[in-house]
Amino acid sequence: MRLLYKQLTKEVLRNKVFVWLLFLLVFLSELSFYFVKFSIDGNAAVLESLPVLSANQLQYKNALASNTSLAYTFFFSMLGLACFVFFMFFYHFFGSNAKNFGCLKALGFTDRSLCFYFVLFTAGVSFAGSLIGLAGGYFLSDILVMANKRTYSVTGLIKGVAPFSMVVGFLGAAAILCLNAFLCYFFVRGKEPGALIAGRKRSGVRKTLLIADGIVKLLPVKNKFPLRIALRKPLAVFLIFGAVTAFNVCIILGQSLNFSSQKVFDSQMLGHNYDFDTRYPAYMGELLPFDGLPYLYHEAGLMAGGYEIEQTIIGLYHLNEVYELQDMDMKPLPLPEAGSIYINPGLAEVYGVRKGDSLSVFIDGRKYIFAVAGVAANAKAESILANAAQLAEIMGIPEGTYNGVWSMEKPAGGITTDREQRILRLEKDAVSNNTSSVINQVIGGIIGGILLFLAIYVNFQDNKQDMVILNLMGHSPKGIRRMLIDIYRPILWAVFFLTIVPSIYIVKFIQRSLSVSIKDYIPFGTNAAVIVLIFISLNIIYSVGQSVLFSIIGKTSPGKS
Amino acid sequence: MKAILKAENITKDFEKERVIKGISLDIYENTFTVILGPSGSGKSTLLNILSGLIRPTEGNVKYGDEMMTSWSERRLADWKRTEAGNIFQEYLLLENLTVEENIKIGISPKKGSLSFERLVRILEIDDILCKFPAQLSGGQKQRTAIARAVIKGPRLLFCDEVTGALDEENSKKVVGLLHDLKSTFGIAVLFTTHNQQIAKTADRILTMKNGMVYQDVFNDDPITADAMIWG
Repeated sequence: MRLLYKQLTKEVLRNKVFVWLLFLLVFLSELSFYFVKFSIDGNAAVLESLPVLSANQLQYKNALASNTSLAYTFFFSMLGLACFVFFMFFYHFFGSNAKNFGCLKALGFTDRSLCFYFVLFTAGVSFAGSLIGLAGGYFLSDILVMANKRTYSVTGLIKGVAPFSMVVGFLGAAAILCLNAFLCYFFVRGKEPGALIAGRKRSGVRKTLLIADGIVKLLPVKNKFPLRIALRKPLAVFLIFGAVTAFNVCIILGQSLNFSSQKVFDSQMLGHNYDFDTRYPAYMGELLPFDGLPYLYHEAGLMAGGYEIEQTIIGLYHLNEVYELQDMDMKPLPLPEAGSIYINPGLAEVYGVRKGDSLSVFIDGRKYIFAVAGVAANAKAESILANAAQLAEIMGIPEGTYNGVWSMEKPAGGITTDREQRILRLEKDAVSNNTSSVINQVIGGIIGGILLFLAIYVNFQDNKQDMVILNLMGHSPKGIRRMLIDIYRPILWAVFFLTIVPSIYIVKFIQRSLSVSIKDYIPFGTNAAVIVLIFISLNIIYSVGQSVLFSIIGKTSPGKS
Repeated sequence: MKAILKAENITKDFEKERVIKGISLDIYENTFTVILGPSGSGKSTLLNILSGLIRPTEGNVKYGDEMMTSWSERRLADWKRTEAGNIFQEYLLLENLTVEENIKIGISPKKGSLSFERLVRILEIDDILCKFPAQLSGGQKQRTAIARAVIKGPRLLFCDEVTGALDEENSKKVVGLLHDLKSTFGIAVLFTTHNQQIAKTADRILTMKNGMVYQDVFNDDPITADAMIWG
């Protein structure tokens, strides 16, 4: 067994590029997990042990719970991508070493012992990546701890990771990746040694080549040969599809998370022209001595998209320049009529509530049906807006009563938040969200880039032997490139255009799921610049892959082929 | 002569093509059997079926009293580890292991092996044990592959066109060595080739055409490997 493992280890390590990238991928996945978990676990345990929490501590505790969901979501998504890259690696490795596997099987080594090696190798990469990721996460978590300290004005924050997180990071990741390796071994499992040794020399034309030929004949392409060569390996082309989609999703998601902070900030400032937001512990009835906007607020629950959602229902008596309500097209909205409400964009985007829908709203345990009159782009976060007269009636208080005021002058009594405090709070949230989203965006971008590079690399590698043969036949490098390589760029472009729209929908779905799981609205946002950025990046990565391949081909003398 | 391996009406289909068409034969102990035939006659496929590298579409292969074709993967692997050796035209040495390691990977922990020193001396590779396959000539590679197949002390040695990539001198050397190993260790050798001269050195010649054995003769007067005339 020692010699078997020595042979396989050396063979695996011949794919240095791949192995390094596999390690890097696991490391980045673990890093993204532990840098968040180090800032969460220790502090969550401390907060849990406190008998009474201050308002800031309570807010911080809720934020930690949300971040935990996010950390797990990102971690398992990245592990999913890592599994895809491992799949690419094994596809490439088993394909290019079929003869060796045939030989080893002919020597009497079983699938079980061969498969065990690859599971062991994967576990090794996983543990090494986890260990370095853990160390990196420990140091990187300083950034999040500092950001949280600023955002929530809490002191005595510590860095610590719970045993359960260690189990998930180390054993969970290893288990998933090892299972993936076990399944990938099906490329070789059960195949007869004779078939593996004979390789493709078996009789007849491969079906995939015939299908590729059929497809190419249908396409209006001048030079059909390169396209047929590329399409003859559907799994390799599928890898490009998967990698481009994953890359698109990583970049769009990262950018969207980045935009979301700004979007939330804008929605809470646009039309919110008041300088003071005052809330009273009791209902007030006196007329305001200045031109303010009194409102009624009350906790409410509603059912949407099969979820029970907690919201604040805000009753408005009138609207003026202090608070200008706007729809999604930035047009002014009138005061909601009795029986109707305006919803915030989160309810529309995350839970699919639409204008004209009937919404069940629970106030003090009683159910009321409201018609959705529209989506208010600048509604207060987690709020729905109703007619105050109707709300007062529901709450059994006289019309004209209020427990909140938006105003340009500071009223007496109540708890007032001034404009500076409001902006500071939104900016702090934005900074905290940006910190984690930028880190995740960078990691996501790198992982997407790795995926794409490997998909292109695998496709190029499949043509390596043909390139050497053409080289021996005297074809110029330029000619070989035109025949076997250049075709992948238009394929990449075609795949990009085919996958960009589905990728946007995938990101919307991911963000919607995230919003539901953390019970916090993350608005989706993208623009043409992001799409152009992805397209340029794809081309750069393609060119890098091409250069690496040519440097490898350059080192391969015909005698060695 | 005692039959060690028995093929009973075996066929093999690759996709829609039948490449082995109902062959029945016995392979005897301590016999050098050549399977002779042109390219595409099915000789390598027959050898692969007999050596357990592929399974027949129909029919059975018996090893002693056991039905090989119904063995589990594990049992078949055990058999390959202990009782059967394979040598290929392309050598199929493991590039990452030295000559010594390439030979020793053929040893089964479940069974004793032949003397390593004696074997490498017979095969004249005792001075290249530390080299890697990429540093060897074709003849050296093939002799290393033979050592790997024989070190376990197999009862059967399957050789698929093993001189196909060698020059005259090395071909003669390899054929001669295989005869020596048969005599020294009592191994039954099955050797596929399209070379008539090699066939003349064999104890028995099975001639194949279109997936069938159409001639099976015992050679009462085999020539030595050195006496082969290379055309």
